[in-house]
Amino acid sequence: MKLLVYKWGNLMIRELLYSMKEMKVPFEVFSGRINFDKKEEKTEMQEELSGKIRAGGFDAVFSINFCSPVAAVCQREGLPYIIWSFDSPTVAGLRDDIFSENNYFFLFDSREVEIWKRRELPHVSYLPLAVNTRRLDRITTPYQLQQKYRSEISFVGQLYETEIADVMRSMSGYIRGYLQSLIDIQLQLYNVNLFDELITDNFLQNYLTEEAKEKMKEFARKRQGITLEDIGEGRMRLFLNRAVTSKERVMLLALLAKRYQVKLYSYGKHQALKNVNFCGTVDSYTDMPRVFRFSKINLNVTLRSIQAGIPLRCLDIMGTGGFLLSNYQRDFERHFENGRDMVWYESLEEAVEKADFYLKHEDLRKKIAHNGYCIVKEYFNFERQLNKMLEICGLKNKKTGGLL
Amino acid sequence: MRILFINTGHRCFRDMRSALEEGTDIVISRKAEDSAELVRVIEECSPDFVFTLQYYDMVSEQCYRKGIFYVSYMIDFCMEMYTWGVIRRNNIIFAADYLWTEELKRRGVEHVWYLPAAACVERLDRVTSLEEERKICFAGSWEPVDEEGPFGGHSRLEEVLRGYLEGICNAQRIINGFDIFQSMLPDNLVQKLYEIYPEEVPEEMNMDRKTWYIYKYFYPFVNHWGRYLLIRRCPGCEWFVKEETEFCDNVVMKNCVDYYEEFPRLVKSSRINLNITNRRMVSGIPQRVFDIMGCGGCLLTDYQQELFWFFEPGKDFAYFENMDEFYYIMMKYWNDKGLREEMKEHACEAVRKAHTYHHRVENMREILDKF
Repeated sequence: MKLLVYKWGNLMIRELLYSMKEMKVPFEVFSGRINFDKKEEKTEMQEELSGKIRAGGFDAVFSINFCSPVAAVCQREGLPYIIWSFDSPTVAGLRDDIFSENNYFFLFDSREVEIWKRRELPHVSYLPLAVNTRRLDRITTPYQLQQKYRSEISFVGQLYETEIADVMRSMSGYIRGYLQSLIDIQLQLYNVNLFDELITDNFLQNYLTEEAKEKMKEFARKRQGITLEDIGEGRMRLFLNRAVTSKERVMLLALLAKRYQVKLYSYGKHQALKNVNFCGTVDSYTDMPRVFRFSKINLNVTLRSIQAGIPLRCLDIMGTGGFLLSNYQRDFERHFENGRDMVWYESLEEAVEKADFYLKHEDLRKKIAHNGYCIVKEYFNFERQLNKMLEICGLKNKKTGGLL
Repeated sequence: MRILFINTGHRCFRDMRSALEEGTDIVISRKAEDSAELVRVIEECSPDFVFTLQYYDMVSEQCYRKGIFYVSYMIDFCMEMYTWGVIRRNNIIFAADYLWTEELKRRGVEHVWYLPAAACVERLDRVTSLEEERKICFAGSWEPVDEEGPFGGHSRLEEVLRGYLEGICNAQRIINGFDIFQSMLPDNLVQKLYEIYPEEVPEEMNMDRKTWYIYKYFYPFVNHWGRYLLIRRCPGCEWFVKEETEFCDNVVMKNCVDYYEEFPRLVKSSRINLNITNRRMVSGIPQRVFDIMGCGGCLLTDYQQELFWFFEPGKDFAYFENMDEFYYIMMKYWNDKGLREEMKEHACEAVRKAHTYHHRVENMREILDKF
């Protein structure tokens, strides 16, 4: 059994490849740049991928997140394509290439799984994300760094604020009002996403100004290194989900910082967060685990495009033995008990109350962090998730020469 | 038990009457012109209960004066549920939407029960289908949007405010079972709206200004666009409406059909029957749904929570949660005759077993016996 791993920029691939090596899963890595907004019939990258498949004796192609050009090649070559979602939603809209019998989707958001099952996607399963606790356990923290990262409450993540304010300013009055109301409503709604239905290509064609589009493209280029030819519904939905998340994160941090020491690890400051200790960005591979370990409480405020799933940040926190205080996500209930393994809140007021309680109860906090760690170590490791994927794809019993 | 059943012209009157007549002493009366006529009718009949389909405050008031219980069965949304008089102790209200019953209780109504709508299967059985198969059919109104109002072509709202309010309307359009308007329309915007469109709540209504604006302007917008946006995605759909109106090329607008004969005939002849719920019905099952299922029609409906209390999705009805799904599921049933036939049979049986007017009358009687 041999996998061809298609590598394109995201956080989890490094950990995944590391674990595959540890598990002695035979694989080869293939990477090629794709311009997603260019609708070419057959790209250079696809030609190269086809050649590699024909030459290599692979049993499946694997990628983190769905890559449409890869799916097209796999369909042509008749090879299973295993997709493990890192972002949610994994794909926007109902495109034909999603429905190929060769695609095996593993999605970490159970709400998304429900939606795709209702749409009769041939192979779709729920599979949470994973962390490598063995690697995390090995990270040591010198005394000076311990002092640096000690905090009552920490949050590692983006605020997205600059981007949103700037783009909104370049929109017409009507559309600004319209989107602002959707953002305000979405802020108060969980388990349903307004943008998925209301923000469509047709809507953008009618209402989004060229100036606003240019601003969004500029941000994609600067922040993510992506060149976009046009702003489609997927990009706009992500933008709005970020706007809601931004509002929620800023409100929570501002509320908590009125009473406690709060450290923020992020790109930019925010004028409403005067009491928050802004600490700049932190390396996700080495220093982020240290932040989680030496903060009494680690916050998670989920990006709103994830409707029910457990974000990687939560697993990262628990996987380092950190105490997690998160907004409610339905999938928590599948794996964790509130107040035993982690703590969730359903309103900002509740978040403040719980932060207050757990800051005063160190023993309980440590016990919860330990329970969370044990669950993540046992059930959210790469070995387990890879085994599940290969089993569902019918590849598990193929000779691997490794742990599988 | 003697019941005075007043015919207010509701489309379900004949069905309800035929179920009530079995085992009940009922007297039928036409709708009174005024309260004096109503009092005269009540005095002549001396009933134990006065009964109407939908709630009428005038009837409630006269019954109260006479010391008689007034029973109403709210099958459709009824604005009069917001009158001051709804809390009179002689009112006994059956409502077809569970959340209406909750709202009525919250407003202080003492005797209120949940009673879903129903179908008259004996009548539906007698109707034969047309020879020619129809495509997709929807019977329901297309509420006009007031051209001079906040969402009309001559709106006086400034751009940002109009955008904000239409955003709220659209959120309500796609979310079922949750009142976005009440919980998320800010009071300061209602005040701004009032400054541009000053209107006072009628004296007889027990509602605040916000609720008045919601019913007057917001719901018509939501129903108008909700139905338009869905139906325009159904090529060849026949839409039977009361209103005289133009629509897009691929939809056939037709005059409203007779409820008793023509509507079931159409349902039986159509490949797919749509239900797009009036958003004033929060979580309940519209009458149209019972009629379609009771006819043995293939039902494709929007999501209404209470459907899942009594029926099985996929077996009795097909539903969609959003626009993408709507088209996808519609095509699935359009292309699969076996699936349609299986569902039609299953749904018809489910209605026959537990959702006829006889079942509803039986439930009503059990409750009324206690008074």
